[in-house]
Parts: sequence; C-alpha cells; structure tokens
Amino acid sequence: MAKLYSKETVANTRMLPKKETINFLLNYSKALKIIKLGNFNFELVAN
Amino acid sequence: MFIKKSLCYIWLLFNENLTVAYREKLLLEKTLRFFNSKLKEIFMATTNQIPDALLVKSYIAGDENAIGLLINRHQSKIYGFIYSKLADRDIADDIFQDTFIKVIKNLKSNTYNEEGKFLTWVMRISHNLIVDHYRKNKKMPMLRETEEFSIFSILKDSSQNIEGKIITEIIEKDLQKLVNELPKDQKEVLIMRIYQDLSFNEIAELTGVSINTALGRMRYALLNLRKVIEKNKIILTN
Repeated sequence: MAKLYSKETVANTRMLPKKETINFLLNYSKALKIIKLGNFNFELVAN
Repeated sequence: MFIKKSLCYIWLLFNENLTVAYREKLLLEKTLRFFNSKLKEIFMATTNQIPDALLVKSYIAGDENAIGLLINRHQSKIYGFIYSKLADRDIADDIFQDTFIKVIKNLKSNTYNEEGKFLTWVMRISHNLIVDHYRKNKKMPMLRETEEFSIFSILKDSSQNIEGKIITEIIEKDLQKLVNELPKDQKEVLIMRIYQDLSFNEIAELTGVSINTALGRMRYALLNLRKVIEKNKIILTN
C-alpha cells in the first residue's frame, strides 16, 4: 500500500476561550459593585 | 606585515571576548527561563490545592484574585462543554462570557449558597444559556447566502422598485390632468367618490341632487374619461 504523505492534523484537545474574554471578565468583576436596598439590587459598574 | 599581524591578533582577541560574553548571556537567559517555569509550577500546585468553596468564599469577601483562579481552573472544562454543543468558537466565547457574568453577579449579590459543587452550578448556567441561544435562533434563524443558494430565490420582495414608483407617479399626474378636463359637476362627483371615498348618498346630500343624478354624473364622468383615453391613446398602466 502506498504511503500517505499528508500531514496529520492534531486536534486541539484543550479548548480554551480567548484571552480577551478572560480579561474582560476579570475587569468586569473588579468594576462591578452590587448594592442591596430592600428588595432592590443596584448594579454599579465603575469605569 | 607586523601591523597586519597585530591587527589580526587584536581582532581575534576581541572576538574571543565577545564569544565569552555572548555565551555567558545565553547561559543567564536559560537559567532565568528555568527558574520562571519552576516558579509557575509551584504556584499552580499550591493554588490547585485550594478548594473551590474556599475560593468562592474569599471572592465574596472581596478577594478579586479568587475569581481569576476559579476561571483558570475550570475554563477548559466549561469552554469545552459549551463548544461541544455549539461548534462555533465565537458563539462559544459569548456564552462563556455570559455564563461568568451571571456567576459574578450572583456571587457579588450574595445569593449563592455553597450547597453543591461550584463547577456543577456553572455548567448548569452555561447549559441554560445554550438552550436560550437555540430557542432564540429557532424563532429567527439566520441564513447566510452561499454560491449555490440565495434566500431571494424563495423570498419575494413585492414592494415597487424606483422605476415602478416613478411610473406610478407619472400615471397619477396624467390621470389628475384628465380628471381636471371633465365638466365641473362630473368632476365633483368623481373626486368625492374616488378620492374622498364618500357613498353616493353622501354625495347626493352634499351636492344637493338626487342619488340618481349623482350616479348618472359618475357614469358620464367615467365614459368621458374612457373616450379621452382612447382618443389620445394614453397609456395608464404600469
């Protein structure tokens, strides 16, 4: 049987989100503040 | 000859020193890289030993690094799970982001109860968001045009194009001119009937004639219009 010289593509077994997504989440977490007033929750996102 | 020899000697000496310095630099870089990787391994080993519940507790208490460690620890599993359902990296990124936004909001508002496992909870949120995504897409599916398939072969746009609109405008103007040429009483009845949408009873009342007269005037108006159109061979169709 003839040899197959095509390059084997190795599937990326470790799927990871983009670095920008992670950075956004970390920054969002630092900027978010939730204040409870009675039955209401106020979300404040500091810029 | 002597100058040439001495120049050669100086050049060799200089190069040798350079080589030594260069070798030392390479060795230093290699050592630094080794220590860096070792430090990373130690850091990962120590942080991996901290249980999720403790990290969640410290995050709620205000430690922002805890959420970073949690995300780092579980990102592969959660993202892999989302991607396995969607097979699209961009949408999977969006769902991953939305999942953790919900997680962060829940933790910060102190509504999270450490009853079960943190990872199970996050996976459940991501699963629900995937279901929401499919439901939303089902209501309004997005079709991309390819070379073989165009959505316009199925969908029809029945609105007039600009050429049609211009022709319609010209026809209306011509018709108005023709109507203006009619005798006054016939023109009045025609305008009231066609443009103002009044019934013949109302027209008869307003013009102060009987309904039969109004009907007769309308009939003559139409006959006259037809005569003029045929005589002058006017085209009033689009």
